[in-house]
Amino acid sequence: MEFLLSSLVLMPLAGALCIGVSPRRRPGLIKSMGLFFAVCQLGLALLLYIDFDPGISGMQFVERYAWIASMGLYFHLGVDGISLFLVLLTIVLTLLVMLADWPGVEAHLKEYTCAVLALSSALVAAFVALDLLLFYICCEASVLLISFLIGIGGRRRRIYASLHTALYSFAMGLPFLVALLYLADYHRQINGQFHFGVLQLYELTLPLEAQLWPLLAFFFYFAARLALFPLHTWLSTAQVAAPLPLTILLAGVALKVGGYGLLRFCLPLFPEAFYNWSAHIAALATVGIIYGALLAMVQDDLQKVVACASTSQMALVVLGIAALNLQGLQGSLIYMINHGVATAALLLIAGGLYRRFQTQELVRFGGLSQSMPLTAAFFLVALLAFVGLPGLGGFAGVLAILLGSYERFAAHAVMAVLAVILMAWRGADIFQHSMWGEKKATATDMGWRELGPVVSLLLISLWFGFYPGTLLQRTEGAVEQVLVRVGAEVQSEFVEGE
Amino acid sequence: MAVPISYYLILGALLFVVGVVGVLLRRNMLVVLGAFEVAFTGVHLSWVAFAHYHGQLDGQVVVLFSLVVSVAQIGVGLALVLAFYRHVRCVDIEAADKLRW
Amino acid sequence: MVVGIQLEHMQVGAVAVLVAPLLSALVNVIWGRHLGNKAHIPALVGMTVAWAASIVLLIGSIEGHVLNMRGYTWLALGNWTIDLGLQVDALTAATLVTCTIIGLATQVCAIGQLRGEAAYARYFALVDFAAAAAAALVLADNFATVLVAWTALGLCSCLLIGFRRDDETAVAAAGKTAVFELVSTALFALGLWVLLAERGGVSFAALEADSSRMAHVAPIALLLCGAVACRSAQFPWHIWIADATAAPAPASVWIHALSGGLAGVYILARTQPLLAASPLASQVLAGVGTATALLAIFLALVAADLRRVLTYVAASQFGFVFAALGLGAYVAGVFHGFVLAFALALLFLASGAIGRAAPQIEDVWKMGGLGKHIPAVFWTFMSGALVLAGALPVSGFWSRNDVLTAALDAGDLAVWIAGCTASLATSLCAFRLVFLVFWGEPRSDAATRVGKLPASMYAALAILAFVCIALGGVGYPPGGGFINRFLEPVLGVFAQAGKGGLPHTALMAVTTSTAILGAVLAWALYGRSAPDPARDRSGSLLQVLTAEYYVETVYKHLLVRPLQAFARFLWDFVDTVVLDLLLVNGSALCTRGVGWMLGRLHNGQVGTYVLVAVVGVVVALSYLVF
Repeated sequence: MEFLLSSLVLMPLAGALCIGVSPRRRPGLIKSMGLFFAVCQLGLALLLYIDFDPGISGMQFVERYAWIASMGLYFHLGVDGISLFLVLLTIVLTLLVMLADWPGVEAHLKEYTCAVLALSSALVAAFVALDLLLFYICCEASVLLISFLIGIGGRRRRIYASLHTALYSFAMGLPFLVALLYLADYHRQINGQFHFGVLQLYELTLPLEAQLWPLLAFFFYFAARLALFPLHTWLSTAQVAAPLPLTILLAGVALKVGGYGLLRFCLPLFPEAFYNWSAHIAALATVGIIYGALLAMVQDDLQKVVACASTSQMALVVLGIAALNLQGLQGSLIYMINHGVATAALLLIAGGLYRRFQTQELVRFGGLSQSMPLTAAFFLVALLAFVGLPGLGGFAGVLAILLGSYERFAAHAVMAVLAVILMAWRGADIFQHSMWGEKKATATDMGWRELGPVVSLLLISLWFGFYPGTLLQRTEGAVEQVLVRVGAEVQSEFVEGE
Repeated sequence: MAVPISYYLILGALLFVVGVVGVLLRRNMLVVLGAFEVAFTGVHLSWVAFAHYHGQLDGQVVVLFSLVVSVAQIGVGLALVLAFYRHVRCVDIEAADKLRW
Repeated sequence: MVVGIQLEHMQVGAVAVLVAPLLSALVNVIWGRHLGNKAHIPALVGMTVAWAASIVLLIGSIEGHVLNMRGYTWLALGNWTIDLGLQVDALTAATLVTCTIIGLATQVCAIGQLRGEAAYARYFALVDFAAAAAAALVLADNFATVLVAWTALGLCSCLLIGFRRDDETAVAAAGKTAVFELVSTALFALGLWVLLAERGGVSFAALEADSSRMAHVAPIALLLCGAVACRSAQFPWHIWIADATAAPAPASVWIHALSGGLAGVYILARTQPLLAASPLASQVLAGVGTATALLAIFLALVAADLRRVLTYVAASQFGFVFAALGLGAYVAGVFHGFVLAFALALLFLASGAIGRAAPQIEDVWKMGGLGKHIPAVFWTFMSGALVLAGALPVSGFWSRNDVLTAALDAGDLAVWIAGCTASLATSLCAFRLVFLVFWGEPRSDAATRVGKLPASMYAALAILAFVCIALGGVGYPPGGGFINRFLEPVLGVFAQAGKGGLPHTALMAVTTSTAILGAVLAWALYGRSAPDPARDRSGSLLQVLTAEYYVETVYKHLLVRPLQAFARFLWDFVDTVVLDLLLVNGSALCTRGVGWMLGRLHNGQVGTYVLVAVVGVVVALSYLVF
């Protein structure tokens, strides 16, 4: 299909427009329209998945429209193994957000639905943009929409959280923008014309000294998006204040933009500098992994636990990327995807709990399995998927990242495993105190309408756990391309092993 | 015997300085407007002197334009002072301090 | 035996063993609430099918067939691939039969034990799931599947311990167990990681070739041994089993005998090439096993709760087995493992029966004279005790003798002496239980009011007692019995057999004498209705034993509290103050401060503005001119 990607990007925007002009006093209509557009988007995404050819390692479904051609700005879209599953994740999670009930936003339902659809569009565009400036615009737009959503329908301290999120990202984005313009200008110096297209910029070979500060600018921007230590504090604030459906998109998808950016932009554009800094990056990532796990141990609010644990897990992703080999990069990619699935399942159940108890504080929950047995069972499975138990999706990613780090970062990998144990312990602790033990609260059990999305996500996680080949086959080609660009001399590859 | 141009220029500069000092130091708005006019006079004098020195009429034409503009400007300025007086009942320039941080 | 089992039959059998319990677990999960009191029917059906299939597999491997079913490629990353598949050889078949018989007996017993419980279906679902996981573990041909199954078994253990969800002690016990299960899984995963990185694959076949030339054999072996030791409650990871008695009695069989016992033995048997190549790991394993054998049995001697005694005994006995494996006597160790599994299953189920017949008492010092009321339980318990004690001619004797002989043959005198001591203490402990619980006069009122037991429990106990006694036949004669011929092709011959100083008959005499001596001591101390010799004596030794050697206190103060304090410090200080307040909000405040300062320039005075404009013009002009 020719216009698949641009329709994927523009359809939610069209939906937002339609909802914008519909009457405010018909919430049922607004919700169904939102659902309709989300389902259409899912249909297009499935088409994308089916037509995707795992054998081709370059970009597929490429579309290129001139925007400001004299400045080398094109509306350039394309998808490959790295972005395919991230796009699918975004679309599936948007659908689930549309399906969920949103207590507390009935007064602003129309603005809400518009904003969520626009956010979905911005995130998908960020994942398929092949033009640096387009990517930047979509990223910043997504942050703006997130802060808008937090500010209007959020929970406590929402205005502060809204401003905090927006300003954090914009402040980090400024050096990124400057570095981006620097790259375009460098292209002009070499080839006589500005160009923002990533594929052309890959061809540039910057000298090592010139790579350093743009690398740092890019890295810190993506580190902030990934909530890597020490740029992670915004996530706790945002998760606590955001309305529950948005937390799913926030922890499930928005964090992944950072990881995606590292793979798509940081690594291939500045290979030598990245290699020189990889030891430092790996050390920072390990500190982040342990830090996040330790923080998660002392949080008393379920959303904060998820935020701190996600910090730790995204740091694991960075460790995998810093390993600079096939195992590490593929591991980080599949780990990101499984993290998105598991986090969404966990947060859907958390949303169900919030709907019943109006709180996410863990001390208020106790003995819930007596009144909500189904919820308790799926809560356990979701927690296990979240911490990466063998048998469910995350474990394949963890194993691959460990494998990638074996040669250069073995000590880091061992510490990462210790941190994973800590997080699993905390997860078991949370389950034990909230679902078992003395009964502190009762509520009606979650029915199939609420649990249906959770079950489907957990089944996906189970599938990925038993058959990660689904992910690995499609990502392998693109990751190998990235490694080729990184260059054979800076790649660390195992020599032994059959 | 022609008067050297420097005399005119110095006189014009002096008038300009007097005018600027008047704008900066005087507290009465009407006097400030008057000081502006003194500064303009100094500038006009310099224009005319240069025009005579080069033997062209361009400078004098500019002065005519400038005179018209300054008259219009004085008209607007005096209208503003009048409106201000109606609210605050004085013409002290330091009383106009509402547009601040 | 010419039954003519072919490989195709074995294929069907292997799949059936795996799938049948899983299906019955799913049936109980989905329709459990509707089935109510009949939830044991799918469970029994599943378990019986699994048992029958395992018999097929056993016969097939006795006839010499080895099944290798290739599954699919789980992970393919560059040079590293993990392929999943099934394999059935002699070891697998023997372990499967053991597990299914014990599983079946446990299910039958549970029908009577848990009748009337609200969560009847949940119990059977969990146990079936554990059975499926155990089957997957034993049928796997690579360590990755073993890891997944190992984790699933740990999860089931935790869920079974926390079975009574509203009981605070049970929930706390489940939490404690969860920590150790996690540690065990993590150690296993680390071992898997190193193995994968070094070898490029994790199948058992990959281990066969050239293990001695592989780097990092010792860390891999140590990590895997550590994982097994953690789950089997070897010292110093033994602190979770005492509280695990919160689980229903049939579940204890799964937790201590199968998941925490036989599964570990099986895994160590599969790691045999690595252990053989790494003397360090073998020595550590033997040392830990022997230490636990001694330390745990002393704990058992002073414990008063019947099931608690049994859990300590289980840990101690499996320590014996690990010592044997560490010394290189793989067949002897595995044989003893099978025997122990049956004996411990029998004893746990019997304790469950006692608990059902006389519900108020768990303390052995409040029991007494129960033999008159429930003679069948008495005789079956007695046979289990005999097996533990290692009395001739039951199976326990042959297997324990094999282990002790191996210790002497390997030249490790210290282990042999420790083993004999532990054997004596085990016999003492076993007969202590017999005498205290069933003999003599009732020591409390509740002991006189003994209820009736359902027939299903008697059936289960009888089956296990029979197997316990009869299994000795496969181990006779020592070193050359059926079990040796069966398992040696898989596990290898014990290299140092027969190198010990004493002839075999002398060793058999030593083993028997430890058993008899223990029984006599028990009679002397406990048989004649004497009061508790350990009571009212608050010696320091007793304190140390009751506190389980203070290991838990050490963990709490050295590990848990500092970690939590550090985490709290990180959150309260580093995150909230340094990062959020100082850096993030601080930079925002600085920006606002600078803005405030610059804002002072706008004082609303026209004069100031004009002055600034004039100054600016003068500066610009002078810059241009000069």
